[in-house]
Amino acid sequence: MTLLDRATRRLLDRLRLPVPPKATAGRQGGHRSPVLASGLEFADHRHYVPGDDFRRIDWKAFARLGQLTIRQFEEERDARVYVMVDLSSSMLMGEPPKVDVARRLAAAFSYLGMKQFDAVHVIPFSSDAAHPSSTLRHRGQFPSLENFLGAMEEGGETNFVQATHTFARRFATHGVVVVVTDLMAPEGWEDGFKLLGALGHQVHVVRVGCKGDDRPKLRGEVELVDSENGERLRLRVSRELLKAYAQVIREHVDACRKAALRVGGRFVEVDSSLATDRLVRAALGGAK
Amino acid sequence: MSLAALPLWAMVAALCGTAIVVLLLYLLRRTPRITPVSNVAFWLEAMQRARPRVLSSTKVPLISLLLTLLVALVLAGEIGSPRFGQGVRGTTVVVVAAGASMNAVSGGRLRIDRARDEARTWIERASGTGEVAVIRAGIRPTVLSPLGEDPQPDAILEGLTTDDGPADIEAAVGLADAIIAHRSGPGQILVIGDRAAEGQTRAPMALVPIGAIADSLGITRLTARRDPLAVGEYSVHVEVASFTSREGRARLLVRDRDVTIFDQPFRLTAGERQTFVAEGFSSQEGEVTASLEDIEIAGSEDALQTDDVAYAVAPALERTRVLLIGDDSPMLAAVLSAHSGVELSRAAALSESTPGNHDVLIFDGVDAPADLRHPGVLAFGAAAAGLTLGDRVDAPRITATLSGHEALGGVRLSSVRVEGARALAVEPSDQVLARAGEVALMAARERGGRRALVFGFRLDETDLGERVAFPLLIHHALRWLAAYKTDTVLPDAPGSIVRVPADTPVLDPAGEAAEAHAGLLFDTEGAGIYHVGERAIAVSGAETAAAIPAPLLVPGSTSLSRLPPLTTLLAMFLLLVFVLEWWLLNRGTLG
Repeated sequence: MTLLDRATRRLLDRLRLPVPPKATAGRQGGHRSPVLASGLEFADHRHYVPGDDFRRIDWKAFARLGQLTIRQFEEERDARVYVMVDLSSSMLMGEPPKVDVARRLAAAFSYLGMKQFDAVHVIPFSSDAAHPSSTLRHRGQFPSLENFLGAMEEGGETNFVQATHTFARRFATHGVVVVVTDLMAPEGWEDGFKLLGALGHQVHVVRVGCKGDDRPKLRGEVELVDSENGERLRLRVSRELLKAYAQVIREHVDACRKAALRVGGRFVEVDSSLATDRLVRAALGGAK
Repeated sequence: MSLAALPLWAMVAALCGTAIVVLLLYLLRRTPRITPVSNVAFWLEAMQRARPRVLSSTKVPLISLLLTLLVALVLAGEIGSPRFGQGVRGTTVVVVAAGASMNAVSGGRLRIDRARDEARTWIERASGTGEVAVIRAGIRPTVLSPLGEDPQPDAILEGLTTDDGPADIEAAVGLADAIIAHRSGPGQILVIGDRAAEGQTRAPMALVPIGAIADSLGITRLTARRDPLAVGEYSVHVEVASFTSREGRARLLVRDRDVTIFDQPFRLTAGERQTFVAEGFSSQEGEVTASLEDIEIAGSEDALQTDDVAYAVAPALERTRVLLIGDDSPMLAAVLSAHSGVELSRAAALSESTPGNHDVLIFDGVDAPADLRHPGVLAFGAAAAGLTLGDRVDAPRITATLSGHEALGGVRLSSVRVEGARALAVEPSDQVLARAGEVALMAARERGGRRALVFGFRLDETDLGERVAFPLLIHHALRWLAAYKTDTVLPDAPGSIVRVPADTPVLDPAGEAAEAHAGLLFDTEGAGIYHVGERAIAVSGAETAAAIPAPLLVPGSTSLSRLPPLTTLLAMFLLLVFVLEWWLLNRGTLG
């Protein structure tokens, strides 16, 4: 199963997953970290205090100023990239199915992380997030990532709060949390984002939308069947109802966007009908 | 397509079937499509937010169902009515009205011309799907084309003319109904005219309406009668009427043959009637034609010419053959000689002449034979017809006169002086016309069709003969004794049957010879003056002249026209209901 074609990979090779310093981890890596230590990039001077490595005393400054000062460098560390993929039944809707788009996006984000030698974890979730992938650290592991993504089973109801709690218990190290979902559950998103933010994660929400969710073309008498729990609802679809539905969806997505931004995260919307390259570009964008 | 030929139960079944189909369609429209969605919770919230409108989505289907059901049932019922030339197989009888009102002009064309066009169209249509008969509805119905023949519209309608009297649509439709009843299979009657027939028919009946309401001035009555006070003269009474809501004026022209005897302009307000009387015309026999000339109606025009002409005949002046027997009173002889209506013969005794050749026998001082059986006897101072003379009365004074008797004609005898008379022996059934106290001086007897008038005195015993009223008295007496019924002969209505004596030639108003059958002339549908031998007979439709109505639809009939059939309109309305329902429920789509 090939989730990313060669063209998309070449595109990804030119892109970079932005990782803010606060989201870096403890290992040495390629991202600037807030820690000033033994890096290569000069950061600042400070007064010497006993216990400092005297090898870092700036003697030239001592000769000039008569004070012992220490040269500080930014330490470059790696990052943890957590890609949470929504696999609830609602992701099976759309043409093509949203879950296929989610797989491709998860592969893209993981590829970026692996390219940067970050520790990548793919965490599928629906009502829980019980079966994450193993840590992936370099591009050589991309085939196993594809196998993992291809083997993921869709189904179940969305319970993002439960999923984030499980995630928090399992992954203590903060990093970048990419949430790929359709947001088609009325509740739980804001609490989930809050929890992730509180844990120090950089939240990046990618909402995968489709026409069936946002602009349904329904007419007359219909009996709606909930794809997640099988609940049925009979109604006559009028223009007024379609308008109201569109407004409800819009308000819900806006609320999720605000929740993500409120915890310092990013929020982007992509349409499931987009081509992969445009999909990736759109998913990596998003206002902060 | 038509369901007209279906029996009632089948029609009811068709209506029920229609209702079931409508309900099934409704249920089909309301059967929901199963549609999976990501999450119904959002739809629930949207339903709560969507504000219901006046015609909410729940009411629209119900209203649509009711409307659809109603229209579909009307549609089925309408299809069940006679629709000619649209696929019905069976017998069609076309009844074309040919009364006087079909001569009215509408839109620059005569109604009868329009009826011809319509009849041609419907005959061609109906003959393609079944048998067709054509009946002309004039004063009497006439079969123009019977069933079983291939109808040739041009040949049939070529001879279609109007009568001058009202059409008997009911008789024509009755004939059509009887024709259809004798055929097996479905059938229908198509009336092309300005009104449908009243009453029920077994076969369904439809009207193709012809014409519209129109304005007209017309002659509604024309009579010519002899003047009882002026021997040989006649007078003409003409009544004209306005059948319009506008003011009209015209000139009334009355002719006796080619001689104009009356010419007067007049003006009529809306709905007004006026009567004109013209008197003093002398003629042995008057053939009177009254016509309206130069008709002007404010803002309109006279639509019907048929009622602008009327005909009448002043009866021929018949002479009374009188045989005078007796004293030969000079005054009586002078009066009888001067009377233009009297053909006088004289005889000294009855045996010298033949009583049967005379209308009235006058016995002046000579008793009539006791066994005389003559229909008219006048006696002065002589017994006659069983009235005998009694005792002599000297200088009786007339105390009472029955001047109202037809024989006296209003002449009063109270001032007449009588020197001597003999009392008449009257019976209770006799009428005493003059008496002196208890003595009857003048009596009239009428028995077994014989009339007698007896005076108890001779003319030389009274000054009656010298009186101015004596000629009038003799005139009235002769008229009563000759048993004249009336001097006024009313015109016959068009279509009347006229008796024709054997071997008597008959001429129609155009002067063409008309043929009588078994002593009866039937072909009098045209107005005018017919001549049966020497006798003139007026046939006039003035009595039946009336306002020109708009086509009248009666209960039990339907109307057909060249407009789109009602079924088409209903079907379009049904479509509109569906479109309206769809629009109300799906006003646009979300972009």
